[in-house]
Amino acid sequence: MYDLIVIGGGPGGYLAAQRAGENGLNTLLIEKNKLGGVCLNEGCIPSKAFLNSAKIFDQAKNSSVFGVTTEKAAIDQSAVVSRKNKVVKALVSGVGAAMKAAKVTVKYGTGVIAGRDADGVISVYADEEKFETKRLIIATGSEIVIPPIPGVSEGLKDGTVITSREILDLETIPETMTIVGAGVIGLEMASYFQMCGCKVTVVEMLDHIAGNIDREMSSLLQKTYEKRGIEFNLNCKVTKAGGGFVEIDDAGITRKIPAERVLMSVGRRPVIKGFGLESIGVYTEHGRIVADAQGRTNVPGVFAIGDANGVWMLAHAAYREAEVAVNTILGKKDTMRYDAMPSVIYTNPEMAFVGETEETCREKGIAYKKRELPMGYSGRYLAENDVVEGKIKVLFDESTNRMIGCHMVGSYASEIILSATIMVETQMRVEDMKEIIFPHPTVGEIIREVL
Amino acid sequence: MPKQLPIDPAEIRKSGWITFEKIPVNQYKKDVADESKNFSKKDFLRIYRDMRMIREFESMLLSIKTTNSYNGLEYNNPGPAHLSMGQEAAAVGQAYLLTPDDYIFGSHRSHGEILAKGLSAINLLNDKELLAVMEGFLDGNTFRVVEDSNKGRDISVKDLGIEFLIYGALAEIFAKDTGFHRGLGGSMHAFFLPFGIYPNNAIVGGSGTISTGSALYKKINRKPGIVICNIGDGSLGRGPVWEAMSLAAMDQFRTLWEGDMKGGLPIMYNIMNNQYAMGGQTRGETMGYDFAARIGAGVNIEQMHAERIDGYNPLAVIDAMKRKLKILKDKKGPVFLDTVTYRYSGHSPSDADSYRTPEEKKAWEEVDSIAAFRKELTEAKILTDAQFDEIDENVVATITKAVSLAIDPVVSPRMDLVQNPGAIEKLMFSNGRIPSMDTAKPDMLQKREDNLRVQQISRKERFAFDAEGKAVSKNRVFQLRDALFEAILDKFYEDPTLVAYGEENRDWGGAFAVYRGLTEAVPYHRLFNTPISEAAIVGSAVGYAMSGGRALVELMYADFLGCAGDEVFNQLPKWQAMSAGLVKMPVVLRVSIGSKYGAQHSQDWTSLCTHIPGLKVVFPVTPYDAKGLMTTALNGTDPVVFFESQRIYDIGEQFHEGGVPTESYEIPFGEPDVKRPGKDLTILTIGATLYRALEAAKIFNEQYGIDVEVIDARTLVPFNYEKVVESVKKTGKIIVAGDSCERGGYLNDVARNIGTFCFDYLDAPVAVVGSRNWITPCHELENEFFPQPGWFIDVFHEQIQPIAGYVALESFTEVELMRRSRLGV
Ligand SMILES: Cc1cc2nc3c(=O)[nH]c(=O)nc-3n(C[C@H](O)[C@H](O)[C@H](O)COP(=O)(O)OP(=O)(O)OC[C@H]3O[C@@H](n4cnc5c(N)ncnc54)[C@H](O)[C@@H]3O)c2cc1C
Ligand SMILES: Cc1ncc(C[n+]2csc(CCOP(=O)(O)OP(=O)(O)O)c2C)c(N)n1
Ligand SMILES: [Mg+2]
Repeated sequence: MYDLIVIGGGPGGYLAAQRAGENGLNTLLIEKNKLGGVCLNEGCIPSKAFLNSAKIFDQAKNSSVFGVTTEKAAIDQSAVVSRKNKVVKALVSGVGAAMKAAKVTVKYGTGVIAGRDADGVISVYADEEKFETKRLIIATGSEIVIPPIPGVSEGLKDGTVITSREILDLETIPETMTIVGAGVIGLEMASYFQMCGCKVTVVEMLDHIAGNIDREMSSLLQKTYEKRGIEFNLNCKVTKAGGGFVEIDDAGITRKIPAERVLMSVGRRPVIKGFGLESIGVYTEHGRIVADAQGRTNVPGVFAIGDANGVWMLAHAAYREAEVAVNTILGKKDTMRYDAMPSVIYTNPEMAFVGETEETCREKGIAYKKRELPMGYSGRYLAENDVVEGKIKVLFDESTNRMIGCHMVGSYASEIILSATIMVETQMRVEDMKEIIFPHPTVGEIIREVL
Repeated sequence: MPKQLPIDPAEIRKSGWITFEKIPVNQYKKDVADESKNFSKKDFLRIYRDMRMIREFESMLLSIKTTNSYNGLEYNNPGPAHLSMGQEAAAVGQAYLLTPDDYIFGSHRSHGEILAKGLSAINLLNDKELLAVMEGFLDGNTFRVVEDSNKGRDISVKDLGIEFLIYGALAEIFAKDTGFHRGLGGSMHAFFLPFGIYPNNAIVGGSGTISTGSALYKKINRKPGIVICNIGDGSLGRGPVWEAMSLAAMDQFRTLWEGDMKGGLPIMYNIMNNQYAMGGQTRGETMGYDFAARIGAGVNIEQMHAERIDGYNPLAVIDAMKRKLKILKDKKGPVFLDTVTYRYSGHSPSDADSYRTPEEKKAWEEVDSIAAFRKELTEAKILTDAQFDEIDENVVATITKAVSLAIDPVVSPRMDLVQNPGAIEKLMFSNGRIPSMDTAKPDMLQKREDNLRVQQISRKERFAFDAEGKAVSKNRVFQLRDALFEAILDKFYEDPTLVAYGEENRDWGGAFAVYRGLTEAVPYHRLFNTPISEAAIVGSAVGYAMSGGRALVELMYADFLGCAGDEVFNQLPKWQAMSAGLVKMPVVLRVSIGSKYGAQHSQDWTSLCTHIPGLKVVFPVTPYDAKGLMTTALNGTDPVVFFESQRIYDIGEQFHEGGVPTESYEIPFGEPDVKRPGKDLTILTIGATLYRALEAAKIFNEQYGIDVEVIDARTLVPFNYEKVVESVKKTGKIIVAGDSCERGGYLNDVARNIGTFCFDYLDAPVAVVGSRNWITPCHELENEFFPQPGWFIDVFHEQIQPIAGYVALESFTEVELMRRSRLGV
């Protein structure tokens, strides 16, 4: 009998297994596909590999303002894909090595839960083989949502409609592309293909892009994109897609947009079906496994972490949840907090944020102070960027003077957000922040400037 | 059941017919001329005056309710007023022959009955007696108002008495501190014990069982007088009324009770048959009896001497009363009267009369009892209009004066809960200690030492372990049931009023053998079997205690509490405070929590009882505690719901050093007891869960090195938190546990309070372990339902502090608690 079985080898699952193994638990990790899960194989990493290529291409094309001349800068999409594959392979095998080092047994196959007996022993099958444990971590991740739009299922077959999975293996840059859904994944791909010279149109049902982020920042991001040539159709519903075009309902008027490829990126949903959750009575609600701040489900000894619990569908959320769950198993008190959860959109320019937005402050009735600055206040930013399109906005709790939110658009935002995250998580007061020395010149200095 | 009554198949299977006697319907045929030899002019005038007084009183209330004024006096009375204009002859005729020793119980519509009975008592009492009653009542507060208002006036004691009665009743209705019970009862609960006026009841038919208990008290304690239960025609649809009549008509009064105890119960069920139950018309619509009097024929061979009488003619009612009182005094009760009457007013002032025609009302008004009586007497030239007019004038003056006094906020203030915040609080319990409720010699059948069970018990080991610490075998150990028996037997020898009854109490020895041996020691009239009438068992105990006795009644399974819902929730707990402390309620209600008997025989309903203000609730689970708490309960003057657990009747005393004392001793209510000292974790248990917590404590200690302090609540209401708080300050962690279903339970109350008292000392929230919010499944599945030893470790691990390497079996995670709550399971 294993001390712990983990189902799913994505960021949540593999880190949980690794930490458990490191702490001496006899651990089995069951993965039906590849270690690293969505994040390494078809998510965070490959998309960032893509985007980096495009950013270099973009800089090369516009290098003259910096006094650099390049000739015939071009993007070789198949080379981008093969480089991405190399990166992924390296990282995946790195995870395998980490499992070995932590003495985690990895079993490839589909894990299926088959019941819990009177002594609390849970049976789990990996394909035909049966394993037993009293503790189970479910880290089965999430899957792509395909809305039932006419034309989509045919389009998926003939390749005119694709998802975030296929797009990362596209060997050519299409002339035109329509992206359905202006969430993080849609925007990142929009940014990538725009930079690569494709005519990109985004269709979004809501009246704003990028979901629940700070509304001012999302419109700033949208404006920047529009300047770069991406077309946005907000408040529009796709009524038909595939076969070279997308048909949208724009305030009652049907419009047809040419689209060599259509990217369906309307969202992801937790994987909760088909692997025997019901056999042990794990409670699910609104399509997700309900877990508490320790990752515990309603069934003793059974935890749900990562995308599967649907709280924050991000790799770093999964990482932290994995640690909290394993600590709880080890008898160490640990609690998952989501107040300082950073997010990044790796577009060009980047956008990053953490904590409360003005909208959530108003919703929760938090009295806040706001400070903002254009990114150009950073010397380095000015030195390195031609157009000053970035901005930082910081929110403080009026009564405690603590930072409760930080929102940025601009290069390096993805890296700078870590400092802000630390400040929010540790509930630093402005006075304390002011004592921190920022290296100069860095774009991160913008935080000192804005205080 | 009794062996002296063999059941012969030949007899039982014999063919034949059941026959009934004719039931008289309005057979009174005399007129005033015929009656003038039986009644003096003064008598006639008094009958008239009493009826007029009631009519005016009720008309005044209607006027105040609907116009906020009466005779130029302004007042707003938000409280209820169920008026009885039209029913005066029935009330006055009934009271005419009664003495203060005769008790009446009433309904929500009993103002008329109170006044009639009061006026009749005032008429009977001599001046000295009457003054003594008024001056002694509630420190003379009510009387003083009336007395002061007559300063410098020459007024007879009787007239003072009348003013006192009208004012006291009205002040009570207006919720004034000077009212008959300080305004705590009000219109539907008014009464005045010294005149033999016992409580009215806002629960339709509520008086059925209570009055029956009062009659039991009179009979068993050889007290003078009879009891009348005045209830409406609508109340005949209520089960407890039927139960009460069944109890009152038990054959055993004649077949098994001995000596002077042989004979029927001195009770009359008088149906004030005003034809309606709110908007429901009993005859022709909501009932099927056609004549209410028919019901008597279904209750016993005597058909309860049932009769329909004309309640519109006071003389017809007096005639019937004369005959029925004789039957009761001859020990041939119970009696049933169907007194025909009619109310002109609506059910209450908000009633729009949508269920009857104006013609119908008019037809009754045309034969109005007061007008008809007066007309008959003037036409017969017995009395003159002038004589009646004078009465009318006096009546209006009396009522007007009472109103002016009662509405005056200075003369008649309301209870001041700001100045005196504890005023109601201190009435919730009488907290008395009266070991014997009477001075008579207790009737017993044998000497204590001659009792076989007493002798058997004397050979038992009174501690569960011998000198070497080895467990004493079940049949040699002094068991919890023996402890209860001892406390109860002692009380039988001490308090002559103590009665114990319920189902299977005699011969069988109580369903769980607590009473084994009592049958030999206690005569029938103090220990008897009742019909399967839980409402009547509890309700009669209320009446028994209210009248001055002490009752120990038993419901067998706690699950049957619901069958006595009104009696346990509205009657037993409320009368001490509603009477402003004028009645005491020394009732111990034994209920036993079943085991192995499934969904309707295994429920811990302590929480239902703790929820009700006015009940004391105890649940001892060791022989020492059982004897001590039973003794305290039986010495007290408050209603106690005494919980027992069928899981542990045979358990021996494991905690009290030296075992269970043979002599009598008391354990004060409200004091929890540390059954196992410890320093790392506190477990507070209610009931038999104690033993599972102790098993858990052993596991905690042996397997996880956690030293557990286990505290047994013993009493739920009242409850002193000191010991628990002290323990939590030491341990920082606590689990509260018991067998009642978790949701809405007392455990959650306790947890909430400990959370408040100990917030700064707690390392984790208070954990609660109750039974699942399910049906109790069959015994074989009970381990999934009732808290088990392992659950304590599980809840500790999931909610208090994770134990390294531990995996719980039973779920106590937040998600599971939320899920269950969301589904309501
Ligand atoms: C295009 C894209 C870009 C993204 N970019 C970012 C980003 O920049 N930053 C970020 O934080 N997040 C990003 N995400 C989200 C991120 O990938 C997920 O939040 C993360 O992968 C969740 O990790 P997980 O361990 O919960 O699940 P997953 O990574 O989904 O892993 C689940 C694993 O479980 C396996 N599995 C499922 N069921 C079974 C079974 N029954 N038996 C055995 N194995 C099973 C699957 O094969 C899979 O390997 C991106 C996602 C996408 C699609
Ligand atoms: C147990 C209970 N059910 C319902 C009521 C509401 N209620 C008050 S009086 C009444 C009608 C009672 O009719 P009856 O017994 O004939 O008395 P009446 O009002 O006619 O005097 C009802 C239904 C109540 N008080 N108690
Ligand atoms: Mg009626």
